[in-house]
Amino acid sequence: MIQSVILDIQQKLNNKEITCVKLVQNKINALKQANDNASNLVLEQEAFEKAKLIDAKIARGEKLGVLEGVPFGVKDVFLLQNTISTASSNILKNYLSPYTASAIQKLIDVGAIPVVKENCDAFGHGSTNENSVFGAPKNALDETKVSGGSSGGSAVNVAKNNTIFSIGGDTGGSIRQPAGYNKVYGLKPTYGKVSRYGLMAYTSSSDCVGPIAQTVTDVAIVLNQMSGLDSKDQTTFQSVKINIDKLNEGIDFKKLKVGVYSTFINHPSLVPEIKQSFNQFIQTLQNLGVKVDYLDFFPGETLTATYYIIALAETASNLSRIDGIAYGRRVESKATLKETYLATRGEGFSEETKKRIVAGNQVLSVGYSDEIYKKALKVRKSIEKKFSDDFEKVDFIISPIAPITPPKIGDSLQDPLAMYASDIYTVGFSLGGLPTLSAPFNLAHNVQITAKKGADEQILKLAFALEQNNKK
Amino acid sequence: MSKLEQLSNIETQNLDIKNISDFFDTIKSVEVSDEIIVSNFTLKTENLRKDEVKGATEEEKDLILKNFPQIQGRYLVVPKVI
Repeated sequence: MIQSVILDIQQKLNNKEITCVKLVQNKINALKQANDNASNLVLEQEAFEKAKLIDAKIARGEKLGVLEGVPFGVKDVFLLQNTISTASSNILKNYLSPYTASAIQKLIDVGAIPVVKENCDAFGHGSTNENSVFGAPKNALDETKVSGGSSGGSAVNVAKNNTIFSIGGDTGGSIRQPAGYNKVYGLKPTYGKVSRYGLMAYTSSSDCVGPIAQTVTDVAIVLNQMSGLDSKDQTTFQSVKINIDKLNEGIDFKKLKVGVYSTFINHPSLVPEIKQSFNQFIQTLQNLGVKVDYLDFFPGETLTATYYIIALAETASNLSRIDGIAYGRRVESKATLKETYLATRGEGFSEETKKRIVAGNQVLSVGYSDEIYKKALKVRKSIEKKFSDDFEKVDFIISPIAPITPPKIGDSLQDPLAMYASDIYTVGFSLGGLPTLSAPFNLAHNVQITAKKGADEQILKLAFALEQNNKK
Repeated sequence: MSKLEQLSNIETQNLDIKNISDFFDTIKSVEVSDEIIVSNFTLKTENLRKDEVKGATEEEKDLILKNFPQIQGRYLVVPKVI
């Protein structure tokens, strides 16, 4: 594996080894022929127009910037002006984006070329990408298995090199887990590092925008371009750019302390195959001289309960705006406004989305609000406090992505509780707003590396050092 | 139709949310310190954008209208309210 697929392409374009039109053509062809349900909409015409402009620039003897001419994928929950953004739902199946999401616009501004809107669980509601009107994407490594979710299509496209990188959204693991199921890199940045403007909101207090890519350097390059203050998202913050040339500096394995949550690795749902792979990762770190400490943490069930209660409440509020009045598929046959709402939302949302909205309204209703919702907010606070305490003791926390290997397509629909339970290792870091990378290295199963808020660069430096170590 | 369906503005058939109530039992059983106070979600106010009206572009306006489910001539048709 080369150090950076993006830098390799930049070099080939600048050296005229390949034209941008040819590059885009290859990706479009691959996406169209894939037959894997990973792509909702291929942006053929728009992409070729952009590619021609890039080739004209090269012909004039101008040098391209790092991301210029690089084809990328966009999860279909991001708005991209004048293209259909469906959220993989029925209700928005024909919804035309009036503007472009800030994170995507920043990539377009430097010449990166969006080539595809990618399949996902409807509105991010799922961990297997089976909750989609476009069908379940097939796992890149075994097409009988799910891609993971909710950014499943994005992970599949990156794993097959059908996009150079893709932009996903991660609310409770939706970048990290599909990246893991397809063995690529996926970063959930610190909450607020990348603007959410133009991302269809699921759980506003934990929604994050991040890259899925083939190498650590590619993750860093894309993150650099997307991150920073955006006046359209007040949770964003000023962000210092990562020095791509110095990713190899600053990691001294012998001075590092890494934490492992005992409650995670002793959880009964963790299958031996993943435990073995994770233990191998611990062993690798220890061989390099890293000190590994075992720490206590909240039980997995507490984390999933806290996360889902908050997520249900927020998605019930966020999706209340989608009612078929100003946009979306409206049921026209009803006599009154109320009946129109009921029928439009009843027909337009999937069973899983309806379940989450109805349960979310239950969580927020009288009799439940104090005992359930506000209690969950308190538990979230104590989880955040525990993270702060733990990062006084260790530099990083490592964990598996999920306790199970990718299920067969169709199996999780029979057992939704098992699907929620499979989120135990990802949702806690979402509640904490912490940066977490899902990384394949040379292991059988991806691992997560988490650091304190704002330490995205440190995670990428550690991952870079480990990636390079694998090559030795 | 149940109260929750009314609250959610969603007509459903045999929607089963019972298994989500497992989460409720779990959260009730978690012990948290009384000292934990949950404040409202706070937004940073130091970087507010300028207080000036910025209208949508013509392209944005055009796309917003294209999304409207029913248009008759110059009128946007909505369900009967009263």
